[in-house]
Amino acid sequence: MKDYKEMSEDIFRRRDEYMAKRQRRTKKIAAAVSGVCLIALLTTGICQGVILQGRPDDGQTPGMTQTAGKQDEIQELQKKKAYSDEKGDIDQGSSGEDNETGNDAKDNGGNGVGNGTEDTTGSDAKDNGENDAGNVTEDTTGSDAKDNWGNDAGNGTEDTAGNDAKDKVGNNAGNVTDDETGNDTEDKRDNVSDKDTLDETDMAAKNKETNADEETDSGSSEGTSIDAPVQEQAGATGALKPYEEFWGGSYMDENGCWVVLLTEDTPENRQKVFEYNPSLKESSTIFRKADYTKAYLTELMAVISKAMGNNELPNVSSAALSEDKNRVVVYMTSEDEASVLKVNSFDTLGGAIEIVYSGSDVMEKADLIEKPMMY
Amino acid sequence: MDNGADSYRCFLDGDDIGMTEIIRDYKDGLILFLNRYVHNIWTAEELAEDTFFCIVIKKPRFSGKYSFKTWLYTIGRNLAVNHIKRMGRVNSTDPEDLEQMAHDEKTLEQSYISGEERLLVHSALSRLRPEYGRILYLKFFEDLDNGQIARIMKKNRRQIENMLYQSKRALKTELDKEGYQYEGL
Repeated sequence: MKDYKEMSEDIFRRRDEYMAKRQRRTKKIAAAVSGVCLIALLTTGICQGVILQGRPDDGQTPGMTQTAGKQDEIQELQKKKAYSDEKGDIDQGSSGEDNETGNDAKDNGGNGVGNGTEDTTGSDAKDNGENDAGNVTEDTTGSDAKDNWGNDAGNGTEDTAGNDAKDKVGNNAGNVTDDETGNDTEDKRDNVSDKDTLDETDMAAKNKETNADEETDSGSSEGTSIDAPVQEQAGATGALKPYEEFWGGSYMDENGCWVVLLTEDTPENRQKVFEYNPSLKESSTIFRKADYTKAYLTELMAVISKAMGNNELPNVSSAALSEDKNRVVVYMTSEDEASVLKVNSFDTLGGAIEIVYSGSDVMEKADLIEKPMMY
Repeated sequence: MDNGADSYRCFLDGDDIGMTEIIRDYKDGLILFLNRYVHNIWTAEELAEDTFFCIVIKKPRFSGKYSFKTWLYTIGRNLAVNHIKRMGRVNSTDPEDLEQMAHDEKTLEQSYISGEERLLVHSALSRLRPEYGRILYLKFFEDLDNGQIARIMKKNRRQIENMLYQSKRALKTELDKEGYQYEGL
């Protein structure tokens, strides 16, 4: 039999062992829980990353696949392109070949004669007949009707994901390969002059592909066409090549369609615009009547800017050329009649200046955003 | 509040000496009481150690509603009942150890129970029904009142009174066989 001291020692020894064992068990449990939490966090992070990657950007329709950064790249690329177009640097023959090899949604027949390609989304086949002038082939991505920028203007032919039978562009010529949700199908047509390869996948897949294409394009911008209106940002202006005699400006509306303003909106002038801007697609172009040429507005803007620089217009806080309004917008801090008359005196034609009383020197940010026209 | 409660409070305050004092004061009586359940002094000793170990690890709350001994013996009884349920009543002691076990039990009795007369009564309890032996042990050797015994045995006071009456009669009969008269009966 143990005496009380031995029993006490035994009990305290057992207690120490028990506590150590419990501590080890607690550590194991904590490690297991930490591991589970880490895995959960990683999974959540990955999921969020995937979601963010696949989420459409603001101002774009869900079918658009570019991130904001990529859009900036493309805009920059477009500016370079416009600049190179002006210099006549465009390699008109080579981009058609580019389209053959790459799955570049941007290389939409930009340079080949009448070999445009359009990316649209939806299942609207009714517009096929409107692809009149060129060999325009349109394909779509996914089934989101909002992606179908061609729908808004009533122009365009679309087919939907997995429905190649809807690629009924009877008036087109070209081999169009549509990759739709992993099911590669080829819609071969006669009268081929060029081949355009298009990707049609779901939104996430298209993101990746388009991004990859953009990177490729940015590396070799010389031979790259820039039309692809679906990839432009709404409200973008100035990327088209102006035709000065009747050119009133251009911008992209919120549906991704180019809006071209012409002082003389005639079929001949329209044809000239398309000839001058081969990347422009009729199905995605809207013509509007303009009151003033862009050249006049630019000149007027320059005069006003110069006057502001010389401190001749103290009540003018800023001025901007608004292509969508086809006006020069002058922001004034006061309604001083003399200042208004002086500003209007620069406008020799009259009515080309729109005066906005901002009330303060600091303009609202919203005032600086050029808003697309509403129809 | 008895010394056990003070010692337990010391232990809860972090002083292991408090638990050592509790073991010193209550070990032998608890072993003898648990021996009434398991009929094995070594197993009873293990159960007593487990009782103290349980208190050391879990540090259960002592309300002071009953005496510390009542509280401690209640815990010990619960462990003994669980042990019986788990192990059964089969005595797995090696026959060679029986002599040593009997010697240990005798030694413990002699150290805990003072007086030849009380030792004789204690040995007579082993010949009674186990329930009678437990109640009489708590009554005569632990000096607990009926309420405390009822608490430990998980019976009501009325039941304990009846059982005490019957157990005393049984003990008296047993002592009469040996020609011994115990004044407490």
